[in-house]
Amino acid sequence: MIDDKTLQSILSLCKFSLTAQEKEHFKEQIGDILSYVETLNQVATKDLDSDLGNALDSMSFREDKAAPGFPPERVVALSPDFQDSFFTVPRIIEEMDEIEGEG
Amino acid sequence: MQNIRQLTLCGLKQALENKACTSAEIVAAFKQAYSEDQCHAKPLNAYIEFFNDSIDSARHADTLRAEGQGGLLSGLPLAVKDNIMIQGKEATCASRILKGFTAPYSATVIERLAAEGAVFLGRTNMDEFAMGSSCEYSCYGPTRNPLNRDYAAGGSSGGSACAVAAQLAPCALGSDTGGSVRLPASFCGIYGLKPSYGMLSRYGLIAYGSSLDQIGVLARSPEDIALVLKAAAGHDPQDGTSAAADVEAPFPLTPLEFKGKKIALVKEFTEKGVDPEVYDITGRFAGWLKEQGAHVVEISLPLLHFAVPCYYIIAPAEASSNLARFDGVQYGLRDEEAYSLEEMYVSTRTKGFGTEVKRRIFIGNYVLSSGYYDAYYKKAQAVRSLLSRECLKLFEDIDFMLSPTAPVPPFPLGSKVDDPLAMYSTDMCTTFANLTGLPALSLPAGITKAGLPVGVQLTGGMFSEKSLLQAALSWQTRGAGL
Repeated sequence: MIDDKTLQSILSLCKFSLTAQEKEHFKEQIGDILSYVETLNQVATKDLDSDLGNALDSMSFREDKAAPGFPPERVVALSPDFQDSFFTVPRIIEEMDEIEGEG
Repeated sequence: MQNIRQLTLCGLKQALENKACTSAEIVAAFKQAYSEDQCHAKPLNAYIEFFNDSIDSARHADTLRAEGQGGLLSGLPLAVKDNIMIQGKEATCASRILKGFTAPYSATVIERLAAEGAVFLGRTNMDEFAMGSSCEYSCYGPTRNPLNRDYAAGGSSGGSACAVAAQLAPCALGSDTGGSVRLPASFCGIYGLKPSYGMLSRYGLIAYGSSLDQIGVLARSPEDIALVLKAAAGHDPQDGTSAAADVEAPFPLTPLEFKGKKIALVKEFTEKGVDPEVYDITGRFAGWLKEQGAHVVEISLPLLHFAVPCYYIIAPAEASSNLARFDGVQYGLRDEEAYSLEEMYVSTRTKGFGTEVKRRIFIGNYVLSSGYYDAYYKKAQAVRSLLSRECLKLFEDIDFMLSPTAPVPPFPLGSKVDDPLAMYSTDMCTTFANLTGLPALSLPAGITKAGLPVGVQLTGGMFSEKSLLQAALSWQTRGAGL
């Protein structure tokens, strides 16, 4: 079981919220999952680097040269709100005020 | 001619070449079957969308073929999992957050298959963002198992597996991050290949766990998988993890001679937690391999016990990063009621993501956060490294590793959805192949007393797809009826 402070702190990173009932459920389920994955502590890995040591090492890179860009009209068409060449979002001023206030 | 829907992809290819039917007739047969299933009291829910224009694509393919044009897959239909982008079609990952999202470009795999003349039938159902083992975590509702509609089809590519098994498509694309092609293939009684990491381009596959994701193929015959692999494989500069050199794509396929082959039966996957019927079916498969002249040895690789906990740190960590892009700004759902930017992020993601996705994003953020990173994420990466080395070393001595695909037969719908650890344990035998990058194939190996399919899994060395599919063809032609 994880505590309320940890739950709230991680939720702020996740950028979603939970109802009070969901929070209680989550605390228990996440606690169980973390206890389960902690079984990895039975594996001795001291002095072992985590370089993956397999096929994932073989990353290839594209040649560094200009290529045709993505047609902007296709991107714009997907946006919930696009005006005058900008993606528009709700106001952020209040948040800035809050941050300054906290400072 | 045999019923069109009963034919394999290779069978349909032959029928088209012999002018026994047209591509339009093939697509019409699948469309009619789909429409009929929609009227069933318990629809399978294999497709999220059957493309209305698929018949037009088929007619176009027929015209090209009449003119002597058309490629390896000319006029052949395929179903596509809802996380692989087809330009101009919706791609939602079975999530509310992407409902209405139209793919602005096609995945490389789609482009290659289309260039060879393939016709896409529709988008198949899946666990949201491929996070699940039963195809029940979908905003479109669960996919049902075609052999018993009250049972799960397996996941996350459950829609693809169900479509193929129910003859609503001859072949389908899926994706496999921890078993998502092989588990539903096992549950639905068909073949499902997760290729080696890098074999098929991931460009245009909506990311879940980037170091684990791989597009795979589901079919009723290993030859069909070989055919699709031949058309889709090859280096792609758009995917930095695509195999640097062109790898051998195995088509046409010949059966494998097992004499002298060394096959390791993995103790860790047959001891604890394995259903007795699954155990027996795996044992019978091992017996068949011996009859074919293979040398089957029991081995123990204790680190395999830790593949699932290792996976459930690394996959959520990567998911939490990949899914950060869904914030309501550039595409997808946006909560228009939100007053501030922060509120928009939070309310959009709260409304857009389902419970399992939220659980994994939470775990991912937890294991990557300051104070927990070393204890969880770094530890998991070290275990992954160790596991990779041990597996690669093992394949210096053996040809294949044998295990069940899933420790259990298909389970009733709803029986595990609220118990994440029980659901995760379904991945017991599959996650190690994603952690190590190795190719693995599920073969339909038997039926339980209740009439439900059970698959076995063969894993090979890196880029050994040809041998794996040859082995499967031997089973299909010489052993599957046993």
